[in-house]
Amino acid sequence: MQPRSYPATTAASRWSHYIKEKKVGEGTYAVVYSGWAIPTPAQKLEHELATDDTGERDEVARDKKILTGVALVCEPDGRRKIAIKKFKIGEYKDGMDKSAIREVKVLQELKHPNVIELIDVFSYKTNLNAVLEFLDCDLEVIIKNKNVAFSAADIKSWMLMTLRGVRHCHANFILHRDLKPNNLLLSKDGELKLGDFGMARDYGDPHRKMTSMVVTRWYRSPELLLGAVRYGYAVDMWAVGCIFAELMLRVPFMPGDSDIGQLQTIFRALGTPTEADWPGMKYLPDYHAFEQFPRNPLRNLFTAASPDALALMESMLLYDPLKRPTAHDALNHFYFRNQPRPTPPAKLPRDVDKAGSKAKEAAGVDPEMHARGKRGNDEDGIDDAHAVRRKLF
Amino acid sequence: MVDPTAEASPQPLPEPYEQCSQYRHWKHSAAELQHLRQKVNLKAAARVRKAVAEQQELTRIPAPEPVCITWDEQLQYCQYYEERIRAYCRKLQFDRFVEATALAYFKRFYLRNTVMEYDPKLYLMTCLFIATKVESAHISLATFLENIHKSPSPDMMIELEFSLSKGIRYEYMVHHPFWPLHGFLLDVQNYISSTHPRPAHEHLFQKLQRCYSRAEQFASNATLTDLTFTHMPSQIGLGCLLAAARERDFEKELEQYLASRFHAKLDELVKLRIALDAVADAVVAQSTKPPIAKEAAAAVFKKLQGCLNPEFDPESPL
Repeated sequence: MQPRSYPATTAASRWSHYIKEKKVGEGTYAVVYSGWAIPTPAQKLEHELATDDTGERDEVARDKKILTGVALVCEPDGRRKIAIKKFKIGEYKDGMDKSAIREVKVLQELKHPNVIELIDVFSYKTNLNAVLEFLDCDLEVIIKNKNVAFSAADIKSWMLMTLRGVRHCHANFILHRDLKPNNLLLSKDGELKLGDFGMARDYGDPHRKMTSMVVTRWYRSPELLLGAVRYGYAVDMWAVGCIFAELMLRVPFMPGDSDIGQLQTIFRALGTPTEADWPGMKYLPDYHAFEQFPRNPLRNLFTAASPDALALMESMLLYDPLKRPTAHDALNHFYFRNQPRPTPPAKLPRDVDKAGSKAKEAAGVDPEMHARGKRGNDEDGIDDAHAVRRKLF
Repeated sequence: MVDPTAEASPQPLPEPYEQCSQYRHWKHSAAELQHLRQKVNLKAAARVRKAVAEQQELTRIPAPEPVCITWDEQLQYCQYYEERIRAYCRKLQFDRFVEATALAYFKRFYLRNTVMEYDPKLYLMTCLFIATKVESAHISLATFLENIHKSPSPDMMIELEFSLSKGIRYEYMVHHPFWPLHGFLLDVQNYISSTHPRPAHEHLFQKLQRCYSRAEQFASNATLTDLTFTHMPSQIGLGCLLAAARERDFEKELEQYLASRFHAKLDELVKLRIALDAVADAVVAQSTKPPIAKEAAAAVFKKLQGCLNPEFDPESPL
């Protein structure tokens, strides 16, 4: 089959067109293809900009400024490897899929070395396509590769990059709402980038309710599990805490087998919260009397962790969302200033012999897909989220 | 020897606002806006004349030389439909964010496109419908179309969504003056409590609150003006507060606030004053401006019938 080619959306783009090569993955909401971005000949670009009097030059200059610090990896001939994410139509009767719009909306604004780069967007027939930088590895794959050992410095490096990406999102009032190792993508030079913004949304308006049906179950915070419809940065921080633990344990820290079971799993690991641990939890919509589990010191489970690492992890896994650190606080934690220094990205462990990807494939259907359940709908408000939940139970 | 250039600091990090698409791609001075509108209009007019001539050759039906509408006629015509967007928002009870976002899409789209090719009656609905999705106030397409006068078919609506999205460069995030305005309200409150004696607080807070309510109306009016392109949302928010302060006898306090807040950066305060005055003048002018008369819009509509681009007409042989 002749590879398909699509022109860039703006004339003064540094890419003239994109070539779709082959399918590399398929999720519930999108199909991902690998491909190439073909550069606009320098002369043509110069001519385009020189003859333009509609402000394109200013725009290009402004675009350039925000991309300083973001490495641009190209082939010797100037082509750039890309991923094309083609969004499935979804509920066609309502036109363009709104989670696709939401993902594009968010990624257009987030330009940061630790956030996946959205290069362009185009539509073909009635499909929306996002042109993204190509990242073929993720943290889940590395965690699953039992041939590689992680040092404390490696874990610190991944945590640092994750938190930098998360801080950038939160500074733009955007919640990711689906942080998990599978969505922490890794570039060829070892840089970690947040990916899959399909659940992301802007936050901070106290008058707007949000759905609690977000975040893959094992990384879902207790306030979400109790049906909170007003929440904030702390839901992402809980997930980062779970990822931190998973990097040390090399298996998911709190793998609940169902949505109700997840709370039990958390309580078993961290102890059932008391009113003092989490004032106000009784007022959450789905609060009920919990089975009491004693609090076990995390030290018993994380025997090799340094005290500073444990302190940071514990703070991110506090029951009271208001007590969890912000990404900014976490980055200022002494864990990041103490020895060992974080490993430079280029020297981080790789998926040696592809053992990690094979392990992931062998597991068959992504077990996390099951844990994900149905995507929440912020608009439908609480009532609808409850309906969804009843169906799931 | 120390090489002074060796220590040269890396490029300063961009300011948060510089990172958003609204700043990167939708910021224009008033002069640039006018230039752009003229240019878009001239190019479109040339396309229309060419297409009409081609159609004439094909059909052999003589057609009069089209008299194209001008850029300012388009602007007026669009302003008339911007009022319609507001009316629909009231009818469908959408909040001010949906309204402001829909208006921004409409303005952005017609900054680079012409009504001779894209019918604003259709695009205003599309702007509204996408805005409901973006601002998390989504309603089903069926419900939406039921409430719209002379609504297009659902299939057509989907095509329109893609066409509009392309026209706004798939940049859906729009920043409005409402949040910054609220932030300034809180900041002025803080300023009052920290600088005035306690007995004066209650009185001043009440004045501030009245001032804020008026400023909110101004901010809502600002979304109808070109301020969306020319100024930052925070400048618009503060400018609205200034305009309201002038009306509600709060100017002295607000001036003191500004001076104390920016006293360390005098040149910046001067620049800020210029921007704020421009905003305040524009929002006051907008609130006293009569809406575009139906007759004026009808006149443009009539003229438009003679200069529609046949390439965009599905029934044209082209």
